[in-house]
Amino acid sequence: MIVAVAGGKGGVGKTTLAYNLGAALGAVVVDADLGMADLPHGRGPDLHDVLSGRADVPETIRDGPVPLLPCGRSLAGARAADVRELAGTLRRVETEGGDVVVDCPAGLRADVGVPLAVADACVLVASPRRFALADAVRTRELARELDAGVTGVAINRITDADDPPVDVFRRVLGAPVSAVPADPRVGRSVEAERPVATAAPESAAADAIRSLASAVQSCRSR
Amino acid sequence: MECDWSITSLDEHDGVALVTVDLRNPSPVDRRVRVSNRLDGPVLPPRRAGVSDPGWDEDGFDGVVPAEGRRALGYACPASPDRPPVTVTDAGRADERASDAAAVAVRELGDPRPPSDAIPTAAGDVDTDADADGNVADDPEGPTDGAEVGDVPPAVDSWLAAVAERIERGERLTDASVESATEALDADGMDVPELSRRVSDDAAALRAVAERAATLADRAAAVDVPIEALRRLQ
Repeated sequence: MIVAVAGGKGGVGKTTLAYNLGAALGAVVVDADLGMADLPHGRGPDLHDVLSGRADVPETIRDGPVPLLPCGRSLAGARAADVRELAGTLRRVETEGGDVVVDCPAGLRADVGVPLAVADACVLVASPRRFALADAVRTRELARELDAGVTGVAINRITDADDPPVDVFRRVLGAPVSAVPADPRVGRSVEAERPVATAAPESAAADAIRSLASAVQSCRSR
Repeated sequence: MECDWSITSLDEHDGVALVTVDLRNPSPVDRRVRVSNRLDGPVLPPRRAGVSDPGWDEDGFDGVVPAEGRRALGYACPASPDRPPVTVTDAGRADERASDAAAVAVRELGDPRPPSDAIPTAAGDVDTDADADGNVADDPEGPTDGAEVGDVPPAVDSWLAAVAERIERGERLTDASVESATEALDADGMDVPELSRRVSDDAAALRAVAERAATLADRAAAVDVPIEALRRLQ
């Protein structure tokens, strides 16, 4: 199964959520942000190399607490990468490594569209502000157009001061909404390569991630 | 399927052929057609925002010609204009083929790649380094005469500038009075043994380059292409 983690705006925590969702699902997490990669890179070939025909999928998947397929960070690499190859690459990762979680870039360009087009399900990430709803709706429309069902919405990084508009989101987006509280352990999880489910299994954040993961799982059995 | 083609060479671009194909379908049903490029080069199809129009791939075009209708196609190809430029294959009655959603997404949403002129080139990198070195490259007292700077490739120029800077620092310490040497050391905070080693390496490299450059210059001067005689052969 291929799950796309998307959301119109940048900086809402898509990468962190994709990483932790990948951990909960036992999936390979692919950093599809071809222009501004976020996931830890390490050494060796990356997604840019696969998309420009210089590397094969198996050699780019890095083992770790959550297996990752990182993306390069150079402009030249982004220029050489052919986004048309992304669909085949994601299917190949699925064949090689089982479930795939795709960390999509911000915006609504083809580097979001292609993962949504091949994805079986999609999780939207939004910040806990009312205006974030518009971005989520736009991404939902694109996902709908490309046949990626929205299985869950994460309202991310909620602080005590926020009054997250959970009901509005649920009503407008028509999908289960998980409220993910702001938790420094979630923030650190990507860099430390320690998913919050391991670092703090009892935390509310880990709970929210688990509920998103079970929503995705339930879509598999349908 | 009836088809006409034409091939023309692109003005002012030797070796680029423009191919047009006019397809006519006299039958009462839509027919699928495959146009394959036979020229010895890649197909450069019509593009919008860097993305090929629907139906085009590296080898040609795949599409539908409507019943009793026609369809005109055109592409460029960096190859000599051999004839015929294309093979047209009638792939039979057009069925409702499911379109590839990923391909549609790329076409509709646009290519996310950064534009090619945003990519730093190797020469650009060298320029940046030279600038980062400070004002050495701009210094009229520098390694090359101002008038000749344009003639020396930027990579060579920036290397010579860096070498000149090291030599200059070495010169300030050569036969210097205690006072001026102290001053120079204070100003630079340099690692003296390291500098001495680098400058002697530079000397060896400069001699090797000078030798090679002289040999190449001699060979270049000896080249005498009989332009007139060759023009008659063309």
